[in-house]
Amino acid sequence: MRTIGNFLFSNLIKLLTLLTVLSLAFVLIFIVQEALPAFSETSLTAFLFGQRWMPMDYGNGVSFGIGNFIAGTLAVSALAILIALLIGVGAAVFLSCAVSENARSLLYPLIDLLAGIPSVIYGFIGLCVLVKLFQRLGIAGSGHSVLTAAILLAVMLLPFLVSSCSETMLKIRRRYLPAASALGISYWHTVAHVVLPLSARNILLSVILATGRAMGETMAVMMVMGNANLFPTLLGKGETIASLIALEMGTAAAGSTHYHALYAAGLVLLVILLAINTGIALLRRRLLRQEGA
Amino acid sequence: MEAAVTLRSVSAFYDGKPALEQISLSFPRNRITAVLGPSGCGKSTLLRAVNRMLEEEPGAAVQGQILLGGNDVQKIPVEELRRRVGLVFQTPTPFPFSIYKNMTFALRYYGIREKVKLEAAVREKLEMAGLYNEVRQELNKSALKLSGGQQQRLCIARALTVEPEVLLLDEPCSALDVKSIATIEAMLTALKKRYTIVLVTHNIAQARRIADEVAFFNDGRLVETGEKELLFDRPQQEETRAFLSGVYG
Amino acid sequence: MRVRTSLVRVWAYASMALVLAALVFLFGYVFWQGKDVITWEFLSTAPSGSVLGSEGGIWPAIVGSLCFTLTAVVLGAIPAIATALYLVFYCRSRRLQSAIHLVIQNIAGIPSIVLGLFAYSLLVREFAWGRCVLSAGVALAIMVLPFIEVRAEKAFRELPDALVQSACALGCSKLYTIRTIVLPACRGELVSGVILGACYAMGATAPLMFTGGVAYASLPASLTKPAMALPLHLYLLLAQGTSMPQAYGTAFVLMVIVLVSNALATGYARRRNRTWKQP
Repeated sequence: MRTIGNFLFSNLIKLLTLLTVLSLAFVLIFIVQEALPAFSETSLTAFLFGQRWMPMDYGNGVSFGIGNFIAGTLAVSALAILIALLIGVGAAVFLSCAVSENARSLLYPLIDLLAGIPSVIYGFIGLCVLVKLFQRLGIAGSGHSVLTAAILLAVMLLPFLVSSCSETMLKIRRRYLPAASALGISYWHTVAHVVLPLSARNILLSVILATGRAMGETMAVMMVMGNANLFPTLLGKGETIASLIALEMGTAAAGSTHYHALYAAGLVLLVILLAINTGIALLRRRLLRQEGA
Repeated sequence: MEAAVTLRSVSAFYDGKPALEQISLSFPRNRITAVLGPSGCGKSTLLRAVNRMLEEEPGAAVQGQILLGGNDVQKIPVEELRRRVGLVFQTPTPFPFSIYKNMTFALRYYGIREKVKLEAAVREKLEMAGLYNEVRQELNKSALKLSGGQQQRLCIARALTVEPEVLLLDEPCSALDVKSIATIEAMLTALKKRYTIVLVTHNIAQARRIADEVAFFNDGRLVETGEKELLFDRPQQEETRAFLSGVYG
Repeated sequence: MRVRTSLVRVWAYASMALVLAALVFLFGYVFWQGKDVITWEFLSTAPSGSVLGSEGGIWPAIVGSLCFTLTAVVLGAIPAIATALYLVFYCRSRRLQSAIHLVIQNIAGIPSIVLGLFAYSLLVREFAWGRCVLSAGVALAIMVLPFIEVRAEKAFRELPDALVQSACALGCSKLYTIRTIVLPACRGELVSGVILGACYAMGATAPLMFTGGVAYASLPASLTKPAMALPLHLYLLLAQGTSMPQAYGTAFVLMVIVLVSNALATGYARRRNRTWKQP
């Protein structure tokens, strides 16, 4: 009995693990399969770099170029991460170096709480507060702009940056602080000159990962960025790949080139993210090995 | 002298790096064998190789032959092997249950459910570990509330509940105070009437106090082995002499 | 030199203050604006009005969100915890371990909108399930799977090795050890990971936009029917400019759920840890 139970359980575990692994494969296969037909209509370069997105024929023919959407995605993510970095790393320094263990265990759940807020709520508040504010201040016309979206997105990236950065800083602080204090160096001097520089590499990795998350973010960005097929400028409107898919999937007839082109856009986004995540995983492994050696 | 456990050219590797090299050694029945050596010399690895926990670790590999009572351990079902070979760790590892539940944990696994049998076993093994009188009133207290020395004795008693033939102890006293060490040493000396005991230690004095046989390890190699008096009084190897006189370790 | 030191200090304090201010503002704003909308009627009736949603309540959306979340968590947590168990207690090859870690990190990296695309092409169309709770549930499940796996694996790895090994050294099987030692000892982290995962699934809009979430549906009767969901309802109210008060009310409910589930998750993990991890 016992052996049968063990046998069944270990195989069940293996089967479910296989299922987990296969889910990634399934996603990839189905996105690729639905994306490929788009390229019978348009060439890869025209698709990636073309600036004209005209899925319906209104007399000038159709065309599928997602150049502006790619640029929009990159621009808003890069801008957001810059803003988030400034505040996120600061807060991480605070959490890892400025407070007691008890205070930290009270503050961490608050950071998690910030991460738990749904993106549609961020979009909602962005719409009600940020966009209105921009409007009133007379920047960016209607208030919808790349900058608006970037600020909002930055707030959404904060919890992720804060928790991943503070974790590495805490480790470094614990490892080097006793030695530094034994030398009589002041606490904050050590933080500024030892903990921060030593965390730089890990912060960079977190930043790249966070950029990946930013690029995949849909709702909040879509609600405040204006969604116009324009090349992104700081105060102009723009549109990201994710928004494009979310906005047009509902109207694209299944099986049409429009439909396949949206999958192709999704594939582009997916490929970028897989590249980022795989790259970071490999880099991190190398870093770990270096630290271990 | 009959051997309870015999190792025949056993080697072990972590990620291809050797941790034990060609160890041939036997642990005689109803004796205490001290496996002595500086830290990092492969003593713990040796114990884990015997109950086949080493080979389950990622990156670890074991070669050679290990016999338990004349049978190759690879041919004994792993659960049976581990029931017959008890292992106690360096830091006490009571399960976060009551004392009673710690003691009946393995018995329940082997399907013993009758209260009378369980209680008798708990009492008998706790008595062997010299713990019964201290905890008889509070068997339902969390095991985590015991002192370090009591926890370690509980762990030894727990290892005895499954009636092993061999008891492997991996530096069982290194985290304990002097008084607990004395209690545990007395207990081990009493236990050898029923069990074969292998005690890994880097403490020369401890080996001198309670061991019958001593095997001296250094750097993954078995340097020399023999009866305690012989090895301590007339070590054959320069390495052993240096270790015993405190040059290193 | 001194300047840099004090700058870092000021920067750290200011940043943390900003983060906390953002948190307080987000909750405060929604709670303040939404407090007057919340009535028993709003919570317990279906949307109505000449433009649907301009009057009435959000009851079907609350129930719908629960259905999506439950489906996602059941489908996602089981493989997630199994994978964590496999990686920590069964997998002996380091290479396989890091390969699976790579896969999990990549699953975590799939944008949620792409998961929606996937579920649409495979489940809604290929399997002809149509737009339904189950189709969207699978997309959400893939989304929460790495989220829960990472937390479960962390909890398993933080257990002292010797605890699990002592059980094995007594000759007990892995199944018995997992059942009696590992799962009870990690229950706090596991439950809180699942609650937070549920919260994450509940707030997601993009994966269910074209896989199972709809603008209006009566109470979901089965997994094969589409349903309303709170975040989608909120989005549609805003996108169609239906009604601001209704939107504030919906956001209020969402934020309450987020707050309560986070509090539950943290509190539960703490209490379990107190009884299990300390003498």
